[in-house]
Amino acid sequence: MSISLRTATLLLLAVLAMPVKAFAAAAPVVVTVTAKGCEPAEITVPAGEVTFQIVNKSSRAMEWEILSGVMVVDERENIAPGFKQRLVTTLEPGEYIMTCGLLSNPQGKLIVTGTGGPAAPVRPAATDLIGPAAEYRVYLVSEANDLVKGAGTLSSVLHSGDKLKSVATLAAAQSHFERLRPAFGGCDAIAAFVDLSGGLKAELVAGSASPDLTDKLKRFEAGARALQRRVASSNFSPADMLKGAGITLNKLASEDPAAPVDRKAAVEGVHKVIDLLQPLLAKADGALDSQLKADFAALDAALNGADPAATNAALKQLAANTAKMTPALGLE
Amino acid sequence: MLVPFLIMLREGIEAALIVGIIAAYLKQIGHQSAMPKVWAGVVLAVVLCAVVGVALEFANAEFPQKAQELFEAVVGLAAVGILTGMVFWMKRVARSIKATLHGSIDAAIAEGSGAALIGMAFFAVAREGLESVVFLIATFQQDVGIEAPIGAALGLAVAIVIGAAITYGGARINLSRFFRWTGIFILFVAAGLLAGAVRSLHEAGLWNGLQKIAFDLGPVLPADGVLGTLLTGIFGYQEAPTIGEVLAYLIFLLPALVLFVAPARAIPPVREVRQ
Repeated sequence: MSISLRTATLLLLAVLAMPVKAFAAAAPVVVTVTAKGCEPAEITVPAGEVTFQIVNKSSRAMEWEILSGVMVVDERENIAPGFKQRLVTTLEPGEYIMTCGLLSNPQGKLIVTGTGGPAAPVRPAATDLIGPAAEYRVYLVSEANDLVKGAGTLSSVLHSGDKLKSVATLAAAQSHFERLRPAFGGCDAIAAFVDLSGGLKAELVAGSASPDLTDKLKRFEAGARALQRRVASSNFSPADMLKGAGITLNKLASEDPAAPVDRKAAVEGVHKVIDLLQPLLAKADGALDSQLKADFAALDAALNGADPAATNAALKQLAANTAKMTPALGLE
Repeated sequence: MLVPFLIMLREGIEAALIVGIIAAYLKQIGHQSAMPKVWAGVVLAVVLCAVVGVALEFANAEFPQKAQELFEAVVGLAAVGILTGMVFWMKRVARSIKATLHGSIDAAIAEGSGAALIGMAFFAVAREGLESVVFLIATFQQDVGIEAPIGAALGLAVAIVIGAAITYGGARINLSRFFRWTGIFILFVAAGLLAGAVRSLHEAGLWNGLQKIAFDLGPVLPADGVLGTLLTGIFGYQEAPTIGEVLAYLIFLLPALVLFVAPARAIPPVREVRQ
C-alpha cells in the first residue's frame, strides 16, 4: 500500500512539474458539439501542434476525445453546457476519430495531413530510444552467440577433414563477427579476427594444414568468446550505434578490395542499426530516410555486381548520409 | 447552473467519500489522534491544488489531462487496496469485539498503516482537486453568467456535507453493524474505484484492451443527471462502461463479497480476555 502511495506521490510531483504548455498563438480550430454531434463533423488540419476550441452547445456535460482506433490521443473532460475549452495537442499525420457528445451521436472525423504546411520534424523522445537500443543489444548477443557456436563447429569439422565444409563453416562464422563490426567500431579485436580468419581460410583452401593450425583455431575460439563477453557487458546507445555504423562504412571503403572481408555481412550489420532507428528517422526527417533507402539499394547492387569501385563509392555515400542521422535524430 | 453544480458535486463526492470512510474508520477503531493529521492532509491537498490550478491559469497553460488520468488511476488503485484491506481487517477483529477491542486495535494499528491512511486522504483530495479547481476557474472566467460559479460552489459545499455526514454517521453507528453493512458498502465503492482506474488508464493512453462498450444506460440513467451524479460519485457509475471496466468490477466485487460474507475460518475466534 505504501509503495503505491509513494508512486502516487511521484506522479503528483510529475503532474506538478509538467512542462507548462502555453497556448499556441495560431487561431484555434473550433469544434461545436450540439445535441446531435460535432460541427463540423469532419476537420482537416496540418500535422504538428494544433489548438482546438471545443464549444459545448448541447444541454449535457460532455467530454471531448481525439481517438486513434480505441487509443485516446488527447481529451478534455467536464465541459459544461455553454462552456468552451481549449485543447492544444501535437498530432501526427493520419486519420482520427472525434467523440461528439452522446455515445449515440455520430463520431467526427479528424484528418491530419502530413504535407499541408511545414510538417514539424518530430524529434524522438528519450523513451523512444530505449526500444531500438535494447533490440540492438539482443541482435548483438545473438550474433555473438552464433559466432561462438560457429567457432566450436569449425574445430570439429576441421578434424573430420572435409575441406569444402570447413571453408563454408569458417565463412558462416566470419559473417557473424562481420555483423558485429558497428558495435566495435574500429577496434583491433575485429581486425585481428579478419587476419586470423583470412589466414585460416588460405590454409583450408590450400589444404596445407600448418603445424600451428590448432593454435590458430584456439585463438579463433578464444577471440569469439572475448567478443561475446564484451557484447554482454556493454550497452550501446543509438548515438554509439550510428557512430559505429559510420566507422564501419568508412573502414570498408578504405580497405583493400582483396582483403578477406565479408563485406555483405558487415553491411548487414550496418543495415540493422539503420533499420532499428528507421521508424524514428521517418518521423524526424523523411527525406533523409528515403535517401538512405536509395543508398542501401545502390550499395547492394554494387556488392552483388562485385564492382569494387562502385562499392567504394556507394559505401562512402552511405557513410556520409549515415552521419547526418545523428543530428537529424537529435542525438548530438 | 445545474450542470456545474452536478460536476462539482461528483468530483467533490469522489474525494469526500474516501476521506469520510477513512475518518469514520479511524474513529471506530479509537484512533482519533490521527484525525488532525488527516485534516491537515486534506487542507494541504486543497491548497496545493488551488495553487497549481491558479498557476496554470496565470501561465495560460494547458491542463495536463493525460498525466492527471494516470495520477487518478494510481491513486484509485491505491484506494482500492486500502479500502479492501480495511474491510477485511475489520472483519477479522470484529470477531473479538468486546471491551478489549479498542485497546487491541490501538496497539495493532501500526504507525505505518496510520501513515498510509493519512496519505490516502491527502491523495483522495489531490486526485479530484486539480480538475475541480480548473473547472471552478472556468466557471468564473467563461461568459456564462453568475449561475455557473454559484452552482459549482454549491456542488462542492454539498459534497463536503456528504463527506461530513459519512464521517459522523459512520462514527456513530454501532461497531458491529458498521463493520457488516459498511463493509459491503465499501466493497462496492472499491469496485467502482477499480473500474474507474481501468478507465483512467485508458484515457491516459496506457490500456487499450477490451474497449467495446458493454451496455449503454445513457438514455435510461444519464451519468450527468442528479441520481446519475450521486451514483457516479459514490459507486463509480458509468452510463456506458467498456467490457474491460465491467470485467474488472465483477472480477473484484464478486469474490470480495463472497469472502466478506463467508464466515472466517482461517482465524480461530479470539476469547475474551478477562482482567
